[in-house]
Amino acid sequence: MVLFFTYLCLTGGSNTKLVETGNRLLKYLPLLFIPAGVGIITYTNELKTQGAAIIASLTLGTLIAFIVTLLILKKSTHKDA
Amino acid sequence: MLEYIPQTLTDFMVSPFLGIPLTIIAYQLGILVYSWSRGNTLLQPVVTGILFVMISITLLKIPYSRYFESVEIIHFLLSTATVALAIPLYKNLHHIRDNIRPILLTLIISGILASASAVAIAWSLGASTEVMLSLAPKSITTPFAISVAESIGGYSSLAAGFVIFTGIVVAVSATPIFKWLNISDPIIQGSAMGMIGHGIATARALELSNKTGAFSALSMGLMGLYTSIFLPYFVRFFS
Repeated sequence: MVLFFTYLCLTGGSNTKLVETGNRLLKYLPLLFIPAGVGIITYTNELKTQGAAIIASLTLGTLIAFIVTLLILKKSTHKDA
Repeated sequence: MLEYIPQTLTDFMVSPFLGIPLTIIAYQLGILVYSWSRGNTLLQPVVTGILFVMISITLLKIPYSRYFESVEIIHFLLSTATVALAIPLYKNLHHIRDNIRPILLTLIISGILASASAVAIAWSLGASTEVMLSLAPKSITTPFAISVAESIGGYSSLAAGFVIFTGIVVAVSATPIFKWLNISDPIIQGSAMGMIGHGIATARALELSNKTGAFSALSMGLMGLYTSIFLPYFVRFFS
């Protein structure tokens, strides 16, 4: 991805065919997650025994990270302005 | 592949002839449900799609490993699509010029925080190492998270599920939190949504405004890049 990104920067995104193909692929990106996502089915044991830890970690952890990120952004953009 | 013609019903059920159409139909169904609900964040097409495939293969008694084998080509395309994520990152690059310092500074801190907060909470509640390693890449977009989880020893499937759940948490909580913290700047809103809630929050950010969406897409790309480069080193350092 980094290589492709560098390539895009160097060429200024002039290879339209490549960009078009890439965009078409990205349109279906969520579809491509399905095979991996279905695999959750094989971890019912982990989900049963550690479900509480997982849900707490995902909701609380995410909310904390989100709020702190917002606060840092707010502070740092004001300092620069 | 041409020589491969299914001989029996069981053969057919584990062949790409069933797996691939099943996956595509599941996804289309997910899109339908999503548009019927007028874009309810909880009804992400991918969530409906995954549930539909899960139910189908359970009813047909197809083991997951056989299903996965039959749709390996779809999973392979995922890594190709990951490379293509460079396109939206490049397109949104011009947005960062005036805000490069605050965004990069925040990225460095919140990248660590997004993983560390999840792992710390899971650890304090007694989660296993593998589950914690699957939680660590939860704030980056699914294709990155899957490959990062694989490389650090987590379960890629669990990681995919955790990522989607995280995105939904951010997408649903965003507007109330903005109100609570009195934040109205689309640059701040979008950047935070993309960093913590990747593609799912970016879809929500686009509903708020184009500018919010652009910053979200940009930050999601930067966060994905940053986490997938540094997280494996962090894990190696601590283990």
